[in-house]
Amino acid sequence: MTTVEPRPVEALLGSEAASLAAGAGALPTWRILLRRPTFVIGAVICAFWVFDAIFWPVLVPYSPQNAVTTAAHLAPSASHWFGTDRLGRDVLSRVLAGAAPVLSVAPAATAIGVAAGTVIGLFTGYRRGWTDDVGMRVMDAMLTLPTIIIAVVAVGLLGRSEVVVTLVIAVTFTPLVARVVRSSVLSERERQYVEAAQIRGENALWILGREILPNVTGPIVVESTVRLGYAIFNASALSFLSLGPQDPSPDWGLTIAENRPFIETQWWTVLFPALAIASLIIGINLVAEGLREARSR
Amino acid sequence: MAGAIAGGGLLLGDAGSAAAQILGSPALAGSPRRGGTVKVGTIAPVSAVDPVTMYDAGSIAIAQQSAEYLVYVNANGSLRPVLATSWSSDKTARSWTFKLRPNVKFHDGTTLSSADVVATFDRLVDPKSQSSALTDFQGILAPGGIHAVDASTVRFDLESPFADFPYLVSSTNYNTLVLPKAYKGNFQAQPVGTGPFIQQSFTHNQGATFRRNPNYWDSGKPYLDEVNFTFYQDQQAQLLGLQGGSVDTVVTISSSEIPTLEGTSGLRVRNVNGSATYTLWMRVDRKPFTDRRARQAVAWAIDRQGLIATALNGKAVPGNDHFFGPTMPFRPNNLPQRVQNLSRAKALLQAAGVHGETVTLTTENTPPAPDYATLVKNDLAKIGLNVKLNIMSQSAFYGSGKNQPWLEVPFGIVDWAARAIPAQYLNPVLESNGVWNSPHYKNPELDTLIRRYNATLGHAQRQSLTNQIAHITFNDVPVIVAYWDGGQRPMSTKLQGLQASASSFMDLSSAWLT
Repeated sequence: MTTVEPRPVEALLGSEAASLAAGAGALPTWRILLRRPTFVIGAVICAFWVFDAIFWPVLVPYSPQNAVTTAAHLAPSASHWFGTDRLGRDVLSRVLAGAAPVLSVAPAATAIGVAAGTVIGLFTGYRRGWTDDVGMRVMDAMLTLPTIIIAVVAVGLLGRSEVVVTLVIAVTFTPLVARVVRSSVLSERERQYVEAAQIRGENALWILGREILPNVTGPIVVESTVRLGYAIFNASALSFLSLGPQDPSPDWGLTIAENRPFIETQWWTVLFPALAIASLIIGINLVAEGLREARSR
Repeated sequence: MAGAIAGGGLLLGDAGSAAAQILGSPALAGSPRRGGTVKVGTIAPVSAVDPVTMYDAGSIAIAQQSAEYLVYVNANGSLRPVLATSWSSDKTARSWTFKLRPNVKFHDGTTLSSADVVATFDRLVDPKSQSSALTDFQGILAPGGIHAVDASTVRFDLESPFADFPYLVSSTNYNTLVLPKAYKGNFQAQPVGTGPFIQQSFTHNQGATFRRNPNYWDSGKPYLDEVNFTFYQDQQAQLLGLQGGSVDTVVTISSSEIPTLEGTSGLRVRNVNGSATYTLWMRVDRKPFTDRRARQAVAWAIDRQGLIATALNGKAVPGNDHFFGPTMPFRPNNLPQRVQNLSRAKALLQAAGVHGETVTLTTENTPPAPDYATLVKNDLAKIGLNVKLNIMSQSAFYGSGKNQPWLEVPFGIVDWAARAIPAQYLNPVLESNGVWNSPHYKNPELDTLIRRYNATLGHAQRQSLTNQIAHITFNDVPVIVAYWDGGQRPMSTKLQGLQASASSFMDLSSAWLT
């Protein structure tokens, strides 16, 4: 769908969908997960950034907004571990504070996208027929729109805000989640427990909510984790393109864009926020990989 | 003193470029050498190159190779006679007479005469011409006001007195390139002017080539045999072309690229002072800036040196909240330079009764505006005024029709290209009925002084009026002028005799290669 998503993970999703068809629907337990090093390392990285996103005001050595113009462009040193930027702001403090905007946008966007995709996937997969045909064609149409184009249009119409960025990412995730959920539902609906519920005369909503949904939570959770990684990446990409938070936000994507001209002379202003984005995405991907491995055992 | 500061600024600029020359150029001394080709990079012209309607830097630089002005404004603001050798005015500054240089030949072999100059200016003041020069001539020069006295003398009869009129027929009013009487609007394909270079080819979106004009009036010049322009689609490609040696210099450069280029071997960056700036305005009819003391508080709170050192890469001189830029004919000599004074600012804000309020500062997303806004927010937080930033795209910020945020919002930062005379700022920005009066400032006393300044010829009277006008804006602070920016131009260390230009002009008539 989007230009920013590398192929291999989509391929991984494909195999995910295939394993779902085999009916591996439930979640692995914590005990199994905690024995997987990939999961543990990923979880520690994620936990660090979540902790930082909440408690950065007490973690930062300096105010991330305080520009000391006499101390601009300083290279990393004992007093400024990550150096200072073009306006004399402490880069470490800004990197720490920059986790907050991205970790408010990305999880919210993922939650909305997964919720919407799940509802659509459940109904289209269970109903089949024209509901499925129309629903999936609409989803296919949405998949053809690149995130950036949707974002440019949305920001043009609604203005530049975190809410708009959240909704744009959520909208682009919806069809992807819907497809994954639908394919799981397609195999679940043929099972006997569904047939039994139908014979008991339960209505469709009850069957979807109480019978099928609990059996497809595994793929939904894995998909959510994978989506969260993309959400971080997309949120940062949109900020980089000036479609996200505004100055003087310490948002990582925005910081990279603003310091890009100085990359040859003040590399530290670009490197550290870039490493922050990379570490968070890797952390989330390790968690997703851990979940996937644990489920496919 | 303001004068001393300006002098220091000039020194700074000169020292900077001199140091760059010593570091970058083995042939600082030496007399100009004939021959060679200079390759110039520019962003591709946005439309057909036509001196009458052009407004983008690329088109202007290309047209300036083939055609010339009556008068050229030097980098330091002084006037250099080009096609006019001298000029004078009557006592009222309403009638101006220009003597033309004799024996100047157009590229087609015809001799420049007053008829060509009259036709050129008739074309520019024609409301149907869609010329960018119309605004500058508004209320000053109208159709029918230009007369040929004899073959080498032209007289301009103005609608209202204007003492700085020579600037309006100079390079600063960049559409006023003198063209032959018979000009038909086909400049891009077949430019005919009196300029130092003759265009050989022009390929849309690719480039243009020029050959030396052997019959140029300034004998011995130009030194170069050829000038070749390469058109780039974006700044990044142009930057790579410059770093890789595909071009020797460029017409425009984004200020954020300067630090990178200063570190590139084989290149040096020349600087000139100029009278371009981003102004910070406060609407005098909107709270909390209705009280003059609140506006003064903001002016005293801003760290001008810090702003220049960071957001402007150290390449600007401090402004003093008046519109008499460092390259303008007159500068006030009665004002101390305003420097950050937080306790004074706090006291003024308190006296104005402003307490714990949040104001929104609106600006455009073009450097250095976002950084400037960030620093203003930072400085004002120190005196207890909370600032929220609203950084818009440039098109949204200027808007159109009834929605033009830059003329409406109470607190904002806006971009001004280099101007040569104070009238180009004072009339639109601070006159009661000024078209770009963002602060909504209305002061009949200032209106009268501006009119008198524009109509006064005497040196002493003009200096006195300059002081009076500057004193009013300094104390009333409808607009903060925190700095004056000039121009920077990166160029090969082999290229001599070419200056930076605050207006991005490209005068290669004295350029040569070592």
